[in-house]
Amino acid sequence: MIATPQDVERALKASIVGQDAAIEGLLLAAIADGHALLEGPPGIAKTLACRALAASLDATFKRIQFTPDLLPADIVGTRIFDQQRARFDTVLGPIVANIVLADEINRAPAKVQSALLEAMQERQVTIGPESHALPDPFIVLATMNPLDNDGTYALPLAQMDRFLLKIDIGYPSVEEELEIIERYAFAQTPLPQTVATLDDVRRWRAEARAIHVDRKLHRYIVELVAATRQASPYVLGGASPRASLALVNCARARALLHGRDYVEPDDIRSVAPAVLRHRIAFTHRLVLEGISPSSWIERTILGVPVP
Amino acid sequence: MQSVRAQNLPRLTVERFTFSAKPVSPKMGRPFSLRIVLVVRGYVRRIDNVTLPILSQLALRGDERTITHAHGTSTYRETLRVRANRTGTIDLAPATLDAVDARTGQAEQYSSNPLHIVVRGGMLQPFASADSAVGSLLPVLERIALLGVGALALAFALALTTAYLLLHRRRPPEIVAPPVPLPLEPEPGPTQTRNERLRDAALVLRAEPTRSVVRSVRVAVRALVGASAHETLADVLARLPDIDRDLVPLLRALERAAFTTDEDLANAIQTCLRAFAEVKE
Repeated sequence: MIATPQDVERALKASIVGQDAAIEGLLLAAIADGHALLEGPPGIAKTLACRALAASLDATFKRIQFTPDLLPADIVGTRIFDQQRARFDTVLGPIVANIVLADEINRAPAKVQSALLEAMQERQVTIGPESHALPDPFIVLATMNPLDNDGTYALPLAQMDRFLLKIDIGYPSVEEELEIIERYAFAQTPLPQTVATLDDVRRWRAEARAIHVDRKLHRYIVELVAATRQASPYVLGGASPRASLALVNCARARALLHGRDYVEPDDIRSVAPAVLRHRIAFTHRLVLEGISPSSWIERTILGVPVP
Repeated sequence: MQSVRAQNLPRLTVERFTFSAKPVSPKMGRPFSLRIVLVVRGYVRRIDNVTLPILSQLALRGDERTITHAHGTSTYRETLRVRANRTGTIDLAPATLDAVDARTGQAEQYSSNPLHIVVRGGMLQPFASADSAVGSLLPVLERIALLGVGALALAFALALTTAYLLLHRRRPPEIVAPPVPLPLEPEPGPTQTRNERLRDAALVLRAEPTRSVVRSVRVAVRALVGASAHETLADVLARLPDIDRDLVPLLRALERAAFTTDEDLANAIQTCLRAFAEVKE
């Protein structure tokens, strides 16, 4: 039986209580061949969601805890001298995996972040004279904690732009938290069974690329992105054309996830906040006036007429 | 007349069912009328299930339906204002009506006559098609004659008007209501019910099953449920009142037809038409 993205979605929802939006975001990143940034307070199943995605796809999974003393070689790999054979051997770092969880990416200094982001862009790492291709699929899921910012290194906007999506993960509802207690208070959270393979993921990507997007929807996407660039006392810089491309790809991925071979305006509207929220530079006035970036983006999106 | 399945069909005694064009040979680009006349015995308040043929070769400009009653019969008249955008012949299939024959109690499908329309070219065409010197002069003479007749008619009308004004100059001026033209675009009147508007939308879509018409119909149906230009389908469905819940399949079908692939468009439109038919009366 051919596995579908919906099979993976069901498997993830069976092991993670609530967080449906985060699960959908992770699947969109996998289908659209992109990387995702997960932001939320500690203890809300960010790491579990990434592990569960890897388990359901039978993908290799590595977790890197980013710390202030981390070095680029610690993630990319290094050359170690073999005394017996009198030569340098290359030891690849934990970045060589299908799904890499970069936990608390903003805790590492800029040069480590750059090494990771370069690998994300180039899909290869270079150690000494040798270049090594990263496996396909290669998905980086980076987490950030929005509350505990002491001793962190903020990611520059240009580097944030490399992430296809920024998924905001919030606290579960009361009912969901009750269910978490009942299910997992005395038991280890189980990882889902493998329901798809990496070949399936590559097939979904090809299918998503073939999904029809009407010209009116192309225009809608451009108008949404252009709306973030309009002069506003709250915005220093709007989203780039890369955001428009990301919107098309994510909307296609969502259409596939919903079993359609064409994109609807709802696909675009649904993915737009996650695609745009980390690509806009806001002024301090937004914070001073108590407006959250997400609500500004929501309002801006709602102001654009739907085709 | 063919037998059809009886499902809540009206009981009618059909006496006449005709389909005609006026003028019979219209000009390209000029609006003309298609008329359906259905005469049934007895007093019938409304007839809803006259099905029009596909009018894909004509641009629909307006639609008006009336029922009149006289001498123990009811006469349903439907006038479609249409326009042909190409010359040549257009063959229209008969209009049909599903009803139970009141005389026999059997469900029947009644058909009108089919229609054969010859669309003529514009004013310059006779000159272009003339193949002799005399032939080329004839249309010119015809035009001159037409102009002369027109001038005479104008002079006569002016004389009549002057005489009328002289005779009636002491009377208070009468307010003459301007003639009510057929609406160029079908606009729902304030008295139209939701289902009447849906029926009109279905009629337009059936007559011209194209992407642009689907989009217009989608806008009309969304307006019917109070959707704003800034709302997606999910927004609309999230706040749809219970009374309009029966429109959910239709709204979904229209969304699909508006944005699906060209290959799937025909199927998507059929789904829309089925969804129209399933809306609660």
